[in-house]
Amino acid sequence: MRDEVRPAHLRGDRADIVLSVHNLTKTFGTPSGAQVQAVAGVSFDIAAGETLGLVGESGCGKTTVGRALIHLPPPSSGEVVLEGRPMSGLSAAELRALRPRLQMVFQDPISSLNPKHSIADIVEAPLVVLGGIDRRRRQEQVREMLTAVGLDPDIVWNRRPHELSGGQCQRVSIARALILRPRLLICDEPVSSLDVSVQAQILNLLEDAKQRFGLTMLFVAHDLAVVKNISDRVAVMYLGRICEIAPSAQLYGRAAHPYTAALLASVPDPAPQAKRRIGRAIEGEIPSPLDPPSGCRFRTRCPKAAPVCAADEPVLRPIGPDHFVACHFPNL
Amino acid sequence: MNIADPLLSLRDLKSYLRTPRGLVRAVDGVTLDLAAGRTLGLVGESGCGKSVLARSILGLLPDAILQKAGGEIRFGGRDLRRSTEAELRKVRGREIAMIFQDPMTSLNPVLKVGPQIEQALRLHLGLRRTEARERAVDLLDQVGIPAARQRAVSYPHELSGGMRQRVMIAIALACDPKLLIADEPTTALDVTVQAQILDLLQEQQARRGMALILITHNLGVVAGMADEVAVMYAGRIVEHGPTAALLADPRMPYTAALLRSAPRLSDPPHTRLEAITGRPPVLVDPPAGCRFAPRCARSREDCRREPPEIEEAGTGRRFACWHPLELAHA
Repeated sequence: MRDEVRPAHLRGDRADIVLSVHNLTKTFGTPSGAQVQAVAGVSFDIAAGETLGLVGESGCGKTTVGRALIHLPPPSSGEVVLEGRPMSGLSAAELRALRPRLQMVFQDPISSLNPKHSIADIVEAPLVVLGGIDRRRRQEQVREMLTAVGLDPDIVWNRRPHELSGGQCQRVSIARALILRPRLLICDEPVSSLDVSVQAQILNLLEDAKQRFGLTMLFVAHDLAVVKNISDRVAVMYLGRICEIAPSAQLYGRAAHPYTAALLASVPDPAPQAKRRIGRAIEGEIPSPLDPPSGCRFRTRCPKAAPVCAADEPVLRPIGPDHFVACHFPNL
Repeated sequence: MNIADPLLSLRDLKSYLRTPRGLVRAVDGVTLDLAAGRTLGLVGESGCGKSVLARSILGLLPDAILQKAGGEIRFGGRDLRRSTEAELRKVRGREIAMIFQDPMTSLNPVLKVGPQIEQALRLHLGLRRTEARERAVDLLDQVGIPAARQRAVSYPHELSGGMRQRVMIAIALACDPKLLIADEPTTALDVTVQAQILDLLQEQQARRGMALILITHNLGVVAGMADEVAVMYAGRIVEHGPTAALLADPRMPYTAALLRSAPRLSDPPHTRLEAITGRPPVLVDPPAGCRFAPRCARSREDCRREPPEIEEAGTGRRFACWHPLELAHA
């Protein structure tokens, strides 16, 4: 077991923490019997009204973290505290009672909506499950929420998901997630299957919804520019661990972890003054999580790797105001 | 090679596709020249016709789907639109090669990767088995696959996405094509691997002097790779010009809107994005005038009446717009 000391980057002293995650792990079994630790001890917190971006490449565990929070599937270990209430050890019924407080929007808007149901039924369903609201009041709320996400209730009411575009389906997903007025909204790659013009509409909608409904958000995505646009703070994940966490402007302006720096250097920029040649920032690909490197997990691709990196795994430590990095040789 | 004698020349190219919803005008009058050794970035959103355009050049659209094919595709003194399947087979893979977005579905899953490269070499170049085997290993090495000889006996599923795309590139380069068409070659890849693959494409292109059509939705990718950019919207090219000038000073409002709607690393957090309202038209029944007019902030009445033709605007630039944006950085 890792030490149970509260990590330095958790803001336990603040009263407005909506979600606090401590040493979350998720292990999957493979058909061959091996164990893969997709999330290998991740801690973070999100304050009221804040958007935390969780960014990284495929296989880094970011999606598993988001899903573990809504128990799809539940984490293997670790502590999740939502609005002051620990979620571990709760019964199924107790968890269901918490469900209205946190909701999720998924990547593929079309496959995450039931193709046989009308748009009105899809958005109304959470209210039906919740119970205690009469049909007329429920439909009023559905109408209000569809309007709030930029859909015309009179047009989409009886339509099926396949009759809408990807962007419209994502609006429906957001309406369904917001109808219970959650405190925390988890978005898993909500715009990555959308074209850039539609992506901008959805990002703007999420910003508006956040203000209007007083949301706190966890925004999981691989696109660094998208994450920067929407997030107040950003955590970068690599192979199941957080390697850097900082306020957005700080992280993007002064990336301290060599992996963060490499990610940023890899993003092609359409600015005409951008350097013409795209350089490869780092060699190689993410190692198998079945057999992660000893010590720092990034060391096999890191230009700064030294013997200490193989021997000692670096922990997140402060290098500036609210800026934490897990590296023996950070860029300062 | 001079401008008067381009490698590839498209004239009023039309590819109308049979679909359950009706006849889709996927490519609807595209005229374009590409000189040898140049890189063209072909940019547009889903459904704009960029992939159908690429498949049209290679004659990869089945007759059952391609209901109406018009225009000319001039390549190496021939019109590929009027070539027989047997003639096309000699061009495909040999003179024009293509790589696709998803290498897993383009590679044969039950064949080791070495033999997949050998097939191309033996078919097009008539190499003997042992010769082809050596050349395949050499190609795998050239595209940056470590321990190429051992990797040649791997199956596609044993390789990562980035490695599979390298194998696709090795197959495409096997016969030293004059033109490589890359359709979203890095869209399925992580950003650090994308940078590696783009770097590889650039390096191989420079070494071989081949022309490259890079199809992508990502304006950042074309900025770093392309000599010239063509922007497609609703089956047509709406703007075309040298990359730096086009990105700095778009004339067609769609190009400008596309550039403004993407979040940028250089912008501060919470920068309001300028989304384009609505969505592209359904190409079964496209709008009468300019196809972008219903979404365009600058559109006036004449835009909805008459479609603007793409016209030369000096210094190698062309655009199709009745009310273009002024040059800001002239």
